[in-house]
Amino acid sequence: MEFYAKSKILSGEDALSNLVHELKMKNVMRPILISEKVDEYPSFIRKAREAFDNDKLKVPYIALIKGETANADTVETIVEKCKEVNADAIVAIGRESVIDTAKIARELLRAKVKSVKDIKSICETDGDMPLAVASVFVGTATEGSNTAYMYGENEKIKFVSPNLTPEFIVIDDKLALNPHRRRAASSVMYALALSVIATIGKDSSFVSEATARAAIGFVVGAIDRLKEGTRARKLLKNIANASVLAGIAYNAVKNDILSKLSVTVSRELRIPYSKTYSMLFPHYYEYLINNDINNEERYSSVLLSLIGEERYAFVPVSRRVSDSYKAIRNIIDFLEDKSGFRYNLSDFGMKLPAIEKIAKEMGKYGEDAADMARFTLSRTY
Amino acid sequence: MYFEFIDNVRMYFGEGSVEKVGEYFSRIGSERPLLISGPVINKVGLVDIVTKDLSKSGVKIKAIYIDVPKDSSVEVVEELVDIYVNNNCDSLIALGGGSVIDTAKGVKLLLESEKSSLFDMQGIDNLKAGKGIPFAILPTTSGTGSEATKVAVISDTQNHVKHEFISERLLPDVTAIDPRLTLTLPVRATVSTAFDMLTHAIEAFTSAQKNPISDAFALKAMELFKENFFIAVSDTGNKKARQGMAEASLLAGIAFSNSMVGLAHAIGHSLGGAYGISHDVAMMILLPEVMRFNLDALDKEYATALYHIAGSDMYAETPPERRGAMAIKFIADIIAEYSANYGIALKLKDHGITSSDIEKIADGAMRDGAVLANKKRVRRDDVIAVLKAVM
Amino acid sequence: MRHEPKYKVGKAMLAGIIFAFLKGGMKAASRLDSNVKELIDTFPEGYVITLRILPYKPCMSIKKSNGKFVGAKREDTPDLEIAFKNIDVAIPYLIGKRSIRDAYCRSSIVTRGSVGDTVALVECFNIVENYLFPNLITSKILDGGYKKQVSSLRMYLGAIFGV
Repeated sequence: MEFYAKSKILSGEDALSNLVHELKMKNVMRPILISEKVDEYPSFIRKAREAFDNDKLKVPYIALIKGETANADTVETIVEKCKEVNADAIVAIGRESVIDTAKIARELLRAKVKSVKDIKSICETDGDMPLAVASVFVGTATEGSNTAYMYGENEKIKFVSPNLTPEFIVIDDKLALNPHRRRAASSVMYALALSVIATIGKDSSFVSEATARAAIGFVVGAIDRLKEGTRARKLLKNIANASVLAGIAYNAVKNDILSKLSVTVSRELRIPYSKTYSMLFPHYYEYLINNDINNEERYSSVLLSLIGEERYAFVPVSRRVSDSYKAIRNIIDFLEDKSGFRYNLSDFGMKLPAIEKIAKEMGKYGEDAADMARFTLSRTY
Repeated sequence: MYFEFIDNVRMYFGEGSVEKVGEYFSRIGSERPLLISGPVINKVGLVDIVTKDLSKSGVKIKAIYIDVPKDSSVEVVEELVDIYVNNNCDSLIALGGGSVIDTAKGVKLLLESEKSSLFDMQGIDNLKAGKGIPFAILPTTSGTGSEATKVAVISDTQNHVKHEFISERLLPDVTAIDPRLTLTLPVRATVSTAFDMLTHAIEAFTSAQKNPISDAFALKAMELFKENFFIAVSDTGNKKARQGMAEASLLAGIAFSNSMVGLAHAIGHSLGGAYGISHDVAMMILLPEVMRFNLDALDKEYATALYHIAGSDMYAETPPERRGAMAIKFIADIIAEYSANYGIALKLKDHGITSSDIEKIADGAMRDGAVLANKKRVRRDDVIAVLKAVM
Repeated sequence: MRHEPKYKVGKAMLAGIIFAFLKGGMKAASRLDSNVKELIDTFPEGYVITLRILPYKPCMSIKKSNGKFVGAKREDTPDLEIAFKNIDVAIPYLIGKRSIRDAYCRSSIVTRGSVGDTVALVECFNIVENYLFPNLITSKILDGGYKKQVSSLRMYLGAIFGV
């Protein structure tokens, strides 16, 4: 087993200011700032420039990306600009596409190649091109993830490597948009799903389990903020931290069958992957606790993380696994009630015959996978 | 609240994980490592095991130093820098306990900078990125967690003080938690280093600098202690228990590297620097009394810790208002039991400390960075009271 | 071409004023408070301490002379340097919203020099802040327990006029 989380997390109100100091400690002199060309939030760029200007760090160029997805042209354009201004660090502030673009661009620069097609393998050495990311839309778990996605003409290309993870993850509420209720609920669910899968996964080490436990702590914090109806900023902090940590913990998970199912369903229904994953997760978990009887300790650990020591100590040992599902179920019911987040596949246009079709497709991963798919899809229908 | 968290060491776990370190070194082109270790570790055959495992990936040790003493010192660091340069080494491997690891960290620091003296690099987070010498740590004790910390404590033998160095540059690139490396740890050392680890976990969980991530790591470390300590001590050949303790040590190290420690460490460093009391034994002596001092400020945290260290039965049976005190009692009782069983003296006077030494120890403790991170404010009189209680 | 930062003029001026006041306070306390005198005794003679805000030039420099703190020149090489990482991070500490101990715990500072001396200096700052800030502030940031040996008024006079 192994674990590698390269990113230093800077979380809280001083995060952006401290990032500048961190870059200077890495001898960075010419960071390039990559963000989005969206009129709604130019203030993020202004705040980032202010932070750099105050610290005698000249930002030579700001690259503004159009569109919602990373693609080869954008990546290669960024690479050219970096070379032109001799940038020695990349700071990416934006949504997933910006972060993914930055991750891939950095790899091209480290590999010293011009085109995305020329990347044969992600560089092993850390090199001398620090990458810092800050997500504007919290809850995607992209920041700490070891993946990056790019869209070609007709395909989605996935890059996977621990070296894709950034040196710095900035969680500063100056740089993030307040999520509306439905998005907040969706983000909370996604972070919870990733954290729980990271906790119970057979490949998960004790370090990823501890990281996942920290993520679940922030999920619980977010639920409490939603219940209290407290100010959006406090909710945002909890969601942001939860999703970053969930992403990092989840990096250790290999062969996640729920992920494979989610890819299939998401393609079928044309809904975002993260939303699909969140919808399917509770019933996938229900399937696991009924069929994977050798993992009781980890399911119990999920319950402990969700309800805390005070309540957990009084749950009879025989009920801990089943209660872990109930705790997850309670969270979903609350989120549905609070935000109108929908968890039924039929609401997204899925027809009943599709369940068997997808289950058969999942059969290529084994009979258990097909059974799991049937169970999960019918319960989520 | 603002916090930072870093845990950027490549970690490999399980039997045979040392080979993964070799694979990593081979991948990054490190061909001439200097292996730093201690005499006992060499004697029990661990140097041979590691050398063989690394060679499977074609990594051949260029130079070996097996004379690191019990306490790391500047003189040893400078000697090793000369050996590294004279042998044209290109990477470092530390195989040992806290002293070996801190020595290797000092070597790395000196090699990567243009300064001639280690003392010129004292401070907190003030060191810019250096030229980056590949650095692996293979821990042979389950206590210090130094394989994952950004702290090194190195003795100034002339002035009998210990100096702290705090910088992310002290983190290694890679570590392996391999049960074979701790199998030969004698039972007495297994006991004492385990309590060093427990102190790290408790002080990290209760520090003024703590954050939710370090909390999760500290609590998991406490759980692993609960699950593995008693087995590892009664059955020292039990690989699963040894692995569990090593994992606990790593987690506690990551936790306190990000949250700092507290009063027990402040006093422990002072005792170690001036009076030569080994750090792990100092923690056994000090932890319960320091917890008693801190109880009024940390009752809630100790109550949570009770669950993770003692288990749900004891937690559930104890009234909520008594849980903090029960945690202290539980820890004090197991320390007392195991110290008696394995001949570890828990009174300072049994280590040659007299009442006349107390003032000097207190002065040293009040100048330790850990005192600032103790959540409850510490006055000199408080340190003296703790020392008198454990005299 | 050297890039000059865009000063946040108001914050920089405020920091300058507070540093001047703090410098005066440290010098005065070294004469008037025995606890500060005891802490200064642990520094060697001629020991230079600098407190600054990165990336600007030193903002406050003092040195030990004959058992007291006196002003040091900006050019004097510090034996101990404490630097706030940037001005935005520094201001809450300078206006008494957070204690200097918090600066250590929140990773707001970097230091160069002995950690032991840093701890002693933090204690000096705490004692001086206890005099210079009103009770409303100190009760929140200093955990209590610092007794004034002279009145705050006496300390202000010492800080401002050097008496």
